Amino acid sequence: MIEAIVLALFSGVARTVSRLLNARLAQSIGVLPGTLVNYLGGLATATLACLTLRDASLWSAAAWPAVPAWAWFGGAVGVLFVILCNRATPHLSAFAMTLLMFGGQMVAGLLLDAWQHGGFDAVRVVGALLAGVGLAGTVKLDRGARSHLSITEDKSLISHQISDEGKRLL
Amino acid sequence: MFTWMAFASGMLTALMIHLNGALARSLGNNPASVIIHASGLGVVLLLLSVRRFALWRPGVAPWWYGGGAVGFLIVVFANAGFLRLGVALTVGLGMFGQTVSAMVVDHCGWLGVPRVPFDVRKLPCLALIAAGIALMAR
Repeated sequence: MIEAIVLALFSGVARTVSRLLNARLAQSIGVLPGTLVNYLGGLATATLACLTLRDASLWSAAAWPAVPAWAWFGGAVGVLFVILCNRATPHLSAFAMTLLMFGGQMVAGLLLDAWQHGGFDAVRVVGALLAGVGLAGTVKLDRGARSHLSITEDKSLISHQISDEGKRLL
Repeated sequence: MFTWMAFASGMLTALMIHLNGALARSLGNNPASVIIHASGLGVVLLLLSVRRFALWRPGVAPWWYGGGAVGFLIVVFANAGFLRLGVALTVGLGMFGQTVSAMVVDHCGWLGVPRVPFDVRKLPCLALIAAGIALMAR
């Protein structure tokens, strides 16, 4: 349990680093080519990890039928996310963007959990709302601290909080 | 319209963790991340096939290309979280880790971001996020 919690936390840390690098790249070569590089790098690393750890279940045909049909589309959903994000970011404040995305994540997350584990837990909704209020405060203070920076730098938190700069449209 | 787009992109993140997690449960975490990156790559190639593009321009530092390798860690860590914690908790914890690490990066000005010194008034907000997550984990 503790191990899973620490790993989930670190997936967020990795997201900060990865989005910073990807945002820089997208700024100079564009969002979609940047996304292509991102997936290429990820694929190379994943393949290397499989080979070094001798993880053969990918090539053992026996494991394939056990996969639910819809589970193959996670990567495609990721691309859709990047596109939607980059469309919306230039039109919304960093504050609205962060909270809307968090709201979407929590609503879908709680619904998916309720569907998988049966039943809806009101206490978890209260927990999500509390976390949302805390996040709102954090982003609000951050906006204040950034007001002395130039307009172009203003969205730098959001650029590593969410996807790449939205100013670069597809 | 854009409000809904932002909200929907958040929902997609949760859906993605659910789908990727299901794949990791069947195939194992590393093989699943091969499939996840390959399918994403396929979709991007499809979208890019109708236009010209360059993967390099003068002035691009080599380490900017490392985002994907770090992205592999996002997928593997999130999947490991999902298998024990479900979607909502994994997403919440990821958001917390991301917020805190972004603050550290901003405070130190790492990776060329403009420096934003840490504001102690953010501490109660962070405590509130942690309390909310603890409530969800209970």
